[in-house]
Amino acid sequence: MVVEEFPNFLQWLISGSGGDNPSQPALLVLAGIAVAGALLGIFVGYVIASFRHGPFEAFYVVAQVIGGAIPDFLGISLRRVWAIARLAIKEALRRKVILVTFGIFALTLLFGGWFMNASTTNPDRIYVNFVLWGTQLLVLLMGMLISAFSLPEDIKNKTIYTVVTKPVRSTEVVLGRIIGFGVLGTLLLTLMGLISFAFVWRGLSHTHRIGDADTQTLAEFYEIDQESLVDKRGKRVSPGTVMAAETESVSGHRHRIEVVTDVRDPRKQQPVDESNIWKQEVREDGRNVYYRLLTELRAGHVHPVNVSGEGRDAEVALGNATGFFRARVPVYSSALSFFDRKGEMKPSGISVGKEWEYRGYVDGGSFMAPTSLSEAMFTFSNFPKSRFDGQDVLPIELTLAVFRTTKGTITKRVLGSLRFESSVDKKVESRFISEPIIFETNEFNVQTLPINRVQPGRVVAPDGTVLEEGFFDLFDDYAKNGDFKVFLRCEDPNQYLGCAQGDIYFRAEDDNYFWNFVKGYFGIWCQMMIIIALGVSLSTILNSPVTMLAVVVALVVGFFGDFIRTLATPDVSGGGPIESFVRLITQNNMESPLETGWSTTLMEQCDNLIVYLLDKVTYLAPDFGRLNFSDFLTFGYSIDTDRILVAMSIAIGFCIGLTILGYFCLKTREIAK
Amino acid sequence: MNKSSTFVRKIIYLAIAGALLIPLSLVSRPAARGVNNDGAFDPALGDPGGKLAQLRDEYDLSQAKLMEIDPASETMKLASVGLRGVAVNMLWMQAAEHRKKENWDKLRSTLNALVKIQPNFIKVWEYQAHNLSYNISVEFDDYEYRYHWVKEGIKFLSEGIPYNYRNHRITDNLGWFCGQKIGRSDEKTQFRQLFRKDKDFHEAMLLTDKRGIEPDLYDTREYGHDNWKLAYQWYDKSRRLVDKYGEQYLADMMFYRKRPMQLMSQARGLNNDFEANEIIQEIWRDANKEWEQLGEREIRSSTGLPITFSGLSDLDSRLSELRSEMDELVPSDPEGWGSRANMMEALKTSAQLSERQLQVLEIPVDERSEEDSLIAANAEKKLQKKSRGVDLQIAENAAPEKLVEARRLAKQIDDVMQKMQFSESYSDTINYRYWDIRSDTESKDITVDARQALWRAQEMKRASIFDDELQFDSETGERKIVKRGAIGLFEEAFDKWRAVIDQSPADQEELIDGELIDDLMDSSGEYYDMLRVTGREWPAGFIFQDIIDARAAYGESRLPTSQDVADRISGKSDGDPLTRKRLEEEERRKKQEVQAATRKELDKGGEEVGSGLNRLKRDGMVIDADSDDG
Repeated sequence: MVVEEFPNFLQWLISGSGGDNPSQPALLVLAGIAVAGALLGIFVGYVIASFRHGPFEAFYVVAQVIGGAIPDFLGISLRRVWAIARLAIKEALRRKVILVTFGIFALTLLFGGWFMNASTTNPDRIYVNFVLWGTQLLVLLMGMLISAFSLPEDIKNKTIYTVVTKPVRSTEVVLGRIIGFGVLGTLLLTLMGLISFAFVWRGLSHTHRIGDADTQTLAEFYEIDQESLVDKRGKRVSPGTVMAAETESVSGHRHRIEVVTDVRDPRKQQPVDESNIWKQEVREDGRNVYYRLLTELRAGHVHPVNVSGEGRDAEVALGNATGFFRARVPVYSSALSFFDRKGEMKPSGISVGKEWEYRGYVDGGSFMAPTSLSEAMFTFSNFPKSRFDGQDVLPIELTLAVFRTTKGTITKRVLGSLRFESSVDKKVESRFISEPIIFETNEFNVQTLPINRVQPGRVVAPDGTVLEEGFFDLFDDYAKNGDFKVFLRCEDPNQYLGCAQGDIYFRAEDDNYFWNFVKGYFGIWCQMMIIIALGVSLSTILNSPVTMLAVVVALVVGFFGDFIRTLATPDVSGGGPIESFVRLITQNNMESPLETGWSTTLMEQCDNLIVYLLDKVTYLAPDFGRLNFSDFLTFGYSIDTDRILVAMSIAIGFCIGLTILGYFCLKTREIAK
Repeated sequence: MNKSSTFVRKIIYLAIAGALLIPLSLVSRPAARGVNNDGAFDPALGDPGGKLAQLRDEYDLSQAKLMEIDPASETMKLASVGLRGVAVNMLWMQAAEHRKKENWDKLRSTLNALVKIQPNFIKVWEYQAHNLSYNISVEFDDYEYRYHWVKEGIKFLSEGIPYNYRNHRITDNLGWFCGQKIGRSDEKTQFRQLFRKDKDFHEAMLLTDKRGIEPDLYDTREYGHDNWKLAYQWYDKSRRLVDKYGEQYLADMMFYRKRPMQLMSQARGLNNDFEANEIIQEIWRDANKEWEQLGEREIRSSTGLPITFSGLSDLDSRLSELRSEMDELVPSDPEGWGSRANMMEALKTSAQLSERQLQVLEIPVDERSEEDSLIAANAEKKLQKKSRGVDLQIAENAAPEKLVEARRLAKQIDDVMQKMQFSESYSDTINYRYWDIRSDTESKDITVDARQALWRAQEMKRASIFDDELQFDSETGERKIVKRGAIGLFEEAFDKWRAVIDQSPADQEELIDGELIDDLMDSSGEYYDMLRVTGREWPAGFIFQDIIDARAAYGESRLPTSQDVADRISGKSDGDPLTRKRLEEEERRKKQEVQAATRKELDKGGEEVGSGLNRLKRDGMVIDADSDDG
């Protein structure tokens, strides 16, 4: 999964994020939003009051409103807010928007299967993505519709008098509606979430039978040639496979069931789960050999195998698909840096010419110069050892990219290696350096490497002499001070390995999938609350269609802010919007210089202004990308608490700012006066 | 206005609306496909539908018939509420973004949505299928994943058939992907191996509506399913579509060569993967038969002129006949200007014949050597091309009473020559003669025997057994060969291949320039490597030495030439072409250094120019223009 930000909530809130895209402290930004809401509200109110009473009198009207604002905010009564909220709920239910939204959602799920290709390599991603996208779209639309039509309709029908003639403050009118619609939206979202979860669960649950045979026994298995190690389809099998069989095709895929030998030292731990062990033997060297039945990972899942009986007549049964519903908890490094071929430290890796520069690459040297010092260094600081207590084997997961400059050996994947090192000042202290762990890469897949906690290595003194050689504990020795480094190298000459900070991590115990699903929906809830607040706030001053348009613009800007900002780059090829249009209709290419003259100058200046405004407009709406956790669910990663807190803060900040804006707009309108 | 008049007006509006529904329903009535008693679709039994449906059908704009409508596609179109163009653009950008960010699953699902909205835009299918099979597949490090994405592209493209069942471009592309991408990639050995046993993919090729290819149709007995045969079947489908609907998007020459070429490729692929036998020989035979059928097929040139590849010799005879008639009709003084002989003589200059060609043309036909005959044939071909228009000039010299007849003859000659030119040019474009000879040669037992011998030699080389296994007989004191090593087997195989090449001298030239000899040169390279490993010399008079020398002249061989062998025997060098090349390279570099040094000196000033030039002249690097040598 692509992870570009590793937020720390407190740091984000108080001191802002650093790195490539430094930002202001969020607390300051959120306070700014509230102030901006107030100022905008006052300004809009002043403009309206100017039309009604003239500029001078408007000044007094607005001043009066400002003067009354503080008591209004301090005197908010939760009882009255809830009463207004209940009214808003009743009104929204009467309009049947919720029902229609739910109806469309139900239809979407019913016919969704038409558009989904379950036979892809990762059907779970398609399913989860589909329900999240559908829910998000419908809930946001619903939020926009109920909030944009509410107040203007009340004002138009004059039913607002029934409320404002009561001792209700404007803050309570705005806040009550936001909360009322929010409660309704939350109920709908909860329902949709539960149904979606069931839909995904049901859609992905399946099992297989072995081939087309009636008997489901080991007799269906065939021997694997130990020299070629390929199955009867010509595909490579796992190391240690002695027999294999194939399942029937279900949901567009089939699995290979392998009988894999699991050799263990009798003095060490023996298998805990024996349900998939067909037979056991003792080798000449005294080691135990377990013949274990495993299914090949296909379409992002495996199936547990249950064997009962002996010999070739042993019955084999496959369980339900497992591996779809995960919530991996990754422990990421705190920094990533690269070393070039000469061993000099660089902030980014080698570029292999890809347009997307998310990953940096390390090279494996060449046949002419095989001693490349190129490597990537992942620094782990304050490593949470407690998450791995009692584990002798630590899972490291990798999602590496491979770039080949020569075709090399086609049947072999490119090799990489990992090495651990103490994170100390090597000029002052001795450090532990482990032997490299060589592994075969598996590009575009999450690859798990089981790493023994005790690693062979050496202790190197600051002068470079080896003080000791032996086996050392990863946490107690290598990471004695809680910090250590992991080095990634490419071990194949002329080939490259690519990585980003999120590509190598230690995998702690998985989170509960359903809880993670809830957290994913919390992101949608935050988006919905902002849209509702925006709709209610704008509808205090604008009519329904204009409010809707404004909310749609905010949504577009919120979702496509990055794209719009790339359009608003001044030196973009083909110029700004006017110049691009002129080039389009005059069939002029994007690079050729335009004729100099006053018209071109005027056009460029107008473009500069538009581009400047466009750039600023993108910062008015919240960045919905930060509130979108769909990637975490589709790729099976747990959404960490920091991200949840950031999303919640953004939602609360915007809701407060928009409430203030709505208050001032409503107040200045002097509806009941 | 009272209530009743309002009511009447409403009734009138309603009546008009109702009346308008009748022509609307007639115009937009959907077509229905008829089904005969066997359950198969029969166009004769169907209903063509309203005008709109007919127009849609005519221009292939969408699914005009009720039974062809894909609910998913139609729902997507409907859901885009008239903003289909916008939706397509967004999806297209999204697909590009997913590709950039290597999000392959999302890319695949975006493409699914994209083609559902725009299923009749063939280029979208072609472009994105190519994207999947060619661009995405190579992003993967593991060849099994690469194979998976090649298949994804093929499957994606095949999904376009039901929407565009009349158009042969999709089936043509399927043929190309199945053949070229699986059979010509770097990973072709692995891909073909996986393909043979890929039951799921073969089932997918049948397509859901059975408009695809039956797996049995490309099952090559014990070799299993073959990608080239599948490509053959797709091209065959293309032909049937063109025959049925008459919509052909490629020139005849390119369109009709594709199907037989797949058989050639299939046989070549099997020859590479397995030992030659009668099954592969039969495929070559079939390929030859199809290729000759192509030769006899009348195809249209770019100007619409009907030509055949096999008709060249007939045209040649016809040309001779017509020219004889012309010469009889317009006799001319052989020595005078305007005679055919003089005109042809003049053409030798304009045809830019080489000195050697001119010399060979002077030699009487029966005195020409084999090599001379080849050179003369080439020269005559050039002359003939240039001679178009000669007869029109000759016709103008005819007596007035024969002028009309002469012009008519000249026109006929011109037509024949035009046909000949097109036939030759098209034949050269698709290498017609080479493939004809190649498939014919490969169909013969002698070639199968040679291939088997070479295969056995290569097997032995793979086992790293280079030398013969000998047994010493203590009684007779002789050494007997018990088992031939790879070197000996290669020599035996080369002898057999020489016999194959020499069996038809007329075809030899075509074969020597082709892929068959390329393979033999590669095998000779393997043989050379083994000789070097075992410390042996390259044999003087190697059986393919003439071919190696010819190729070395163009710098296309790494094997020792006759000159290398002669140099080795005379002790001039070690006979290794690499040593020769290195020496040549050193000499070239030295010359360059001298030239660079001189240029540097020349830059210094006028006086030094003279000295620099003098030094160059002394070193033989610059030839004095005034000297006798110049």
